[in-house]
Amino acid sequence: MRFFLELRKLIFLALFIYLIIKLVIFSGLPTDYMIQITLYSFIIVLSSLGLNVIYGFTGQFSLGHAAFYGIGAYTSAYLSKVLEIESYYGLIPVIFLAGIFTAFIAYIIGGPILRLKDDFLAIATLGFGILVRVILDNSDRISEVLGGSRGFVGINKITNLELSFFITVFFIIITKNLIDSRFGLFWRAIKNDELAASSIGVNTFIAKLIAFIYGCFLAGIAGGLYAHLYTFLHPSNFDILKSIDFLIIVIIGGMGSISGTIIAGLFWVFFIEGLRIILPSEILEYRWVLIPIILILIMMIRPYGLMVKKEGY
Amino acid sequence: MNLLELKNVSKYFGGIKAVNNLSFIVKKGEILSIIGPNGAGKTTVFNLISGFYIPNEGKIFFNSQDITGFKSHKLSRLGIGRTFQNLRLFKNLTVLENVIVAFLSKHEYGIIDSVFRTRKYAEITKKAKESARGFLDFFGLLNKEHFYAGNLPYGEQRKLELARALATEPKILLIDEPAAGMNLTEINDLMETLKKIRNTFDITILLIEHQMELVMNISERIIVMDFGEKIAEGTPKEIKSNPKVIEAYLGAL
Repeated sequence: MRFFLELRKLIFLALFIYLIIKLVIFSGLPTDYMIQITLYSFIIVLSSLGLNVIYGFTGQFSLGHAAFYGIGAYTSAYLSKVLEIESYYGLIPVIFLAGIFTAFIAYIIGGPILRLKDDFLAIATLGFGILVRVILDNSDRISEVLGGSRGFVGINKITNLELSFFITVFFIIITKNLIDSRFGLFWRAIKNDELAASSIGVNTFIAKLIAFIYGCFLAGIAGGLYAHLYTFLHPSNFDILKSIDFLIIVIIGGMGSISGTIIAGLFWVFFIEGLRIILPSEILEYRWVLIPIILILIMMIRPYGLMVKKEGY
Repeated sequence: MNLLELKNVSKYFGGIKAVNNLSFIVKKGEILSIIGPNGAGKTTVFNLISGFYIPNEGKIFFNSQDITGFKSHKLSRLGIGRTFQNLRLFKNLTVLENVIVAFLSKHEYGIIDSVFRTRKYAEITKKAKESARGFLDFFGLLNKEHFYAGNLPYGEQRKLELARALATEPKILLIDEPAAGMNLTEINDLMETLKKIRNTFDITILLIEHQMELVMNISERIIVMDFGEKIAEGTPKEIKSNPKVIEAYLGAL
C-alpha cells in the first residue's frame, strides 16, 4: 500500500496524460501513423531508460543496447507466434518472459565483460551487438519462423496504447524507486569513484551487474512491445546504429536523469518520425542535416544534457 | 591484543619491490603512524591492507583471521576503513549521500524492498539518515549536508572522507596523509579531530603522515619505512633519536 500512497501523484499524472491521449485519439484527428509513432515513442523511452540505468547512473558504457532490445523483440515474437497469442492479456506474460530471457542473456554476458572498464567495455559491448546481429541474420537456421535476413514476418499487432503507455509508466516508477534506494546510491557512487565505493563496502561488481541486468531487462520488455506494434522485425533494426540512437537519447536528456530520458526519448521519435508528417517530401531528407546540427547545438549549450541541472546527478 | 598483523609481506611491481618483507603488528586501540620518505611504500602498505593489492608474498591477519587476498568490499565489512591520499569522494553526490552510501553498504535490504518501498526500506532509510547526520554533526558538516561533495572546500572534503569511512563502523581506520596541503591552524584542528575520533568511536588508527609535528604529537608508536622496508619502530622519542631514521630523511652524512 505504501507503494501506491507515496506515488499517488505520479500515478494520477499518468492517468491524466493517458486520458488526454485517449481523447485526442478518440477525436479522430490523428492518423494511424501518428498513433503508431506515439506508441513507439513510449517504447523508445522505456528502452532508453534501461540504458540510462547502465550508462547514465552507473557509468558503464554500452554500445550493445539495441542487441538486448532485439533479443526481447525476437523472443516475444517467437513466443507469441508459437503460442498463437492474439490478445493483449496473453501478450503481457509473453513480454515479461521475453524481458526475463533478455535479462538472463545480460547476466551471462555481463559476468565477464563488466570486469572491463571504459573503452574496453565499449568494445566488448560493441562486439556483442555485432554477434547478435549475425545470429539474427542467420536465425532461419535455428527456426524457420525467425526468418533470418529476410526478417520475421506476420507478428500479430497487439500492442495498444494501454499496453505501451502503462508498462512504460510502471517501469519508470520502478526505476525511480530503485534509483532512490541503496542500489541507486551504489550505482551513482560507482560512477563517481568505483575504488572508493569498494573501500566503503560496496560490492561494485554485483552492483554493476544488477544495473546491467535491470537495464537490459527494460530493453527486452521494450523490444517485446515493439515487435507487436510493427509486426515485422529485421536484424538491421537492432544493430549498432540503433544502439547509438539510445545513447543519443540518454546523453541529450542528461546522464542519470529519468525525466531527461523521457523528454529526450519523446523528442527524438517525434523529431525523426514526426518531421515526415510536417515536412514536404522534397525536403524530407534534409532532416538528416537538421538533426545533427541540433545535436551539436544542444551539446554546446547544455553539455550535461537537457535535464541534468534540475536533478543534479 | 593484536588487531592487525602483517607477516613478511612483499609486493612487487615488475622488478621494483614496493614493499619488501614487511612485518608489523597493530595493537587494539592504539594510534600507530607509518612515516618515511616519498616512494618508501607507505601507501602500498595501505593498499595491501585494504585489499586493493594482493601481496606477492606473506600474510595479513585481522582479528586473528587470515585476510590475505580478500576483496576490499569484504574487508570493509570486516571492519577495515580507509581514506585516500588524493581524496576520493563521490563528488556528484551530496555531502549527506556520501555518508549514507557507507551506512547502507552494511545495512541491507533487497531489491523487492526497494521497488515496493516496504517497511524495512523505510526503517533502514530513516536510520541511515539519522546515523549519517550524526557523523556530519561530529565533523561540523551538518549545515552543508545538501552541498555536492565536490563543492566543499578542501579541509572539509578531508573531514567528509573521514566521516564516510567512519560510517562503515570500522574497527581500524587507515588514514592516508590527512594533513597534506593544510596550514598549521588546520593541522592543529586535525590533531584534535583525530584524538576525538579515537576516543569517541573507540577505534584503532593507522596513520600515514609527513607532517612530523602531527605524527610525534599524536602517535603512540611509529614505524619508519624506506625503500619498501621497515628501518625502525618505536615510540616517538626513540624514533627521533634513531640514527637510521635521520639518515633516511637527510641522506648519508
